[in-house]
Amino acid sequence: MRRDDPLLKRVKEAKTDIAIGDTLIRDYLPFIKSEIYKYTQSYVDESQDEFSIGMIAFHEAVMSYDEERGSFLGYAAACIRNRLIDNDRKETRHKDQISLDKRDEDDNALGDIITDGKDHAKDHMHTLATKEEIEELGRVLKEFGVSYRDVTEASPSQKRTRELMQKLIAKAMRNKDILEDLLKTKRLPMKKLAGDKNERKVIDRHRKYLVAMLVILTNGYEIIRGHLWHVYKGGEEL
Amino acid sequence: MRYLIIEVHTLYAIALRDDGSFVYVYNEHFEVGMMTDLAKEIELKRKEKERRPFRLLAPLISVMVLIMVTVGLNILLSDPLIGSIYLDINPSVRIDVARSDTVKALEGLNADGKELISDYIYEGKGVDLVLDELIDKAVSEGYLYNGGKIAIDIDGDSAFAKDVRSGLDDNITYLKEDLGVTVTIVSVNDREVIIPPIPIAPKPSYESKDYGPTPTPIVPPVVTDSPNEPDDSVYEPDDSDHDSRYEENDSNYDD
Repeated sequence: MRRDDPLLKRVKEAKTDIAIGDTLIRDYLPFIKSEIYKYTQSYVDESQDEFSIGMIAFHEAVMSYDEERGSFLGYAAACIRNRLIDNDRKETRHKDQISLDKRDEDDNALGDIITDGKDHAKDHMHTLATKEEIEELGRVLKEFGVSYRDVTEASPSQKRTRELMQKLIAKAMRNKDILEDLLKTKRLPMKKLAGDKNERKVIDRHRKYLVAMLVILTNGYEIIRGHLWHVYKGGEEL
Repeated sequence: MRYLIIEVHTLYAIALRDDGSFVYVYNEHFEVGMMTDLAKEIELKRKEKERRPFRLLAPLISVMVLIMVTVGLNILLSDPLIGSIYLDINPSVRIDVARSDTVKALEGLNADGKELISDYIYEGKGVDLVLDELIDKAVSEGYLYNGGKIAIDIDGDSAFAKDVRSGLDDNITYLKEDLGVTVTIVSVNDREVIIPPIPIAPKPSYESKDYGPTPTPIVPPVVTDSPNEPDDSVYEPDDSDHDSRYEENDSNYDD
């Protein structure tokens, strides 16, 4: 593969940018489906597990590819095939177990017949309510110039940083001025929030994440707050 | 770990973990609002900082700029010498002048010169003022008197020499007219190297009287001949000249 190959360029960019990876996957869905078909010898729907396995395998190929491995598409095809083989082996190990997808004479899936004690209607309603809450949060964050992707990119990955963020959020929850300033100006009041210069640098790096968390913890969002209940309880870290 | 699915895309989904972190997970038929314990997180590689073409040269360039700035500042601040003035009365003094026309150093070139400048403060003074004050000091301390001479030798480029000359105008007038002092100013540029010809001995233009009174001729003593006494003026060897000490030795060579 030539260095100036546009696919190679996209593969390189996709290693660090998930959105580019997503676009690349969408563009190469026919290729992925084709490779799955070569292995399963049957058409695979996007709702089937094999499709997810093939897609994840393609992205793993993106992440682990370098030019010494030959052409990217050849390498990706091998990755998809290997993942499908692994999945088959796993399935073989569980062959004694009956799949919930297994259908009876009336073409009903076993999973639909067997009850698990859960109220699926209630769960569905809960999911819908959660979805509404998430969409509302997304709209509010947009007013702050923040997207979910921005929040994810700014999210602390290290435990120590997460703990500092929790400390700062707790501080903001106790100090109403900070929250009022945030909602009024749509900007994070750095001076009031940061204890010292180092904290200010950390806050600056994770500013969008802090904005999102403060909005979540101040403006209702009961379901999302409930999801985080063991981290934040009434504005106090546990 | 429990994940709340926030946003769904073809490949991935954004999920809020119950520890408060937002993460990317592979989209395995997720939908927004769904909660799951089974999500495979995606670890993206960190973006490499864009390589700048001069990144490696940057420290070298910084050092060079620093050196250039330092040298430039040094030149500006150090005020380098542009020439020297040799003031020769009898006390001889060298005056080193900086570009800013201030005197940078003063040195007595002989004992009187050292004495003249011993208690004189020149720091921060202009060359004209120092020349004025040194000449006044030489007058007041009796080195320069009516009918005396000053030689000022300017060692520097023509512009410097011109400046010094113009600064000396008032002093020269004062010295010449009020003190009757002869002032000689020479600059390096005016100076000519003259190789003197080999001198030819001049014919004596003096007379014998120029050497004082005529000396009395020396008269040799009169010698009277005497038959009993030998004439000393004529050498004639005789036996008495023979040294008997060598006789024995002489005999040794007879063989």
